[in-house]
Amino acid sequence: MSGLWFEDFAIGRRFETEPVTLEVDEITWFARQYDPQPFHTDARTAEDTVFGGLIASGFQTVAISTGQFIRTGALDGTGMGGPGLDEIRWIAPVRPGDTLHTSVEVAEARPTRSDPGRGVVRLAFNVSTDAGEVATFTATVFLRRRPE
Amino acid sequence: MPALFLDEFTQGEVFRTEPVTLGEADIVTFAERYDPQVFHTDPVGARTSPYGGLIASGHQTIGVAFAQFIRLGLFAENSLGGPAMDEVRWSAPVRPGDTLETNVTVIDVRPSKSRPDRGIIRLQFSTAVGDREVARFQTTTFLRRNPNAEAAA
Repeated sequence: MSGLWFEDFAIGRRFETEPVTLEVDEITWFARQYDPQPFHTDARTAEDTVFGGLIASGFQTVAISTGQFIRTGALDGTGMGGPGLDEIRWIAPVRPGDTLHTSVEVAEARPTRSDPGRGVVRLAFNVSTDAGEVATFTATVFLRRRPE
Repeated sequence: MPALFLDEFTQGEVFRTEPVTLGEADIVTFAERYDPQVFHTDPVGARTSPYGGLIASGHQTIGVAFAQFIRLGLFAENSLGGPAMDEVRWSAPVRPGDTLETNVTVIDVRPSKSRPDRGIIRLQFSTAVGDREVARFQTTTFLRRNPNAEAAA
């Protein structure tokens, strides 16, 4: 599908994304490259850590949830990248077999003064498993405006 | 470097990590899983994107920066995990072949009031390609205190 224009991101609009189940291999693959701590990289050594077993890197949880939003197609051809993330809070550990559900709500939308072709949208992400909330954060993205 | 306890970090201290060069395959492999946008996954399609060519996912840039800090070995088994990250800013694109260098500054060291065995350390990460900063972010981590120092106190 083609993506949504800046004007389509009304404050309060919500997006539900496809759930993703995280398995051991994907947790350790990510962690060995991007977050090599004992509770993320190896199921055996993780048993002796404060978490009592393997947990996913918080960076991975965040990347999966934004990736699932990308896969909704909302930004296809209209997304122009993003300058940042804010207030990332990792509330509870994510363990192998957990299924992540991400919902996204438009928190703010404003046209860019210096560039009439684009606008800035702030999206509030909420990631949960069946047991409850595991992470929240906001992401800022640049979007093309609908051509007149 | 040996692992440090909370009390051994000093506000204002700076750690420099080993540089890492990101290749086109690294960028595409990461993005196909975690950030499937054309300017991250398709070197040809990226040419007509606003970036004029392939760029790394910002999630990959901050992951590389954090991993390089972890590889210094300062946290090791003393880390009790992190509850937060703040003010992630991607200020310039990272392209295939770019070498990322990260400086990490200790911005806050605070013993926990409720849990005497631990405290909170906040770090400011700044990642650059040459002289140009490409990303910055702040992390918050729970870190063990030195059990022996505590007994002596």
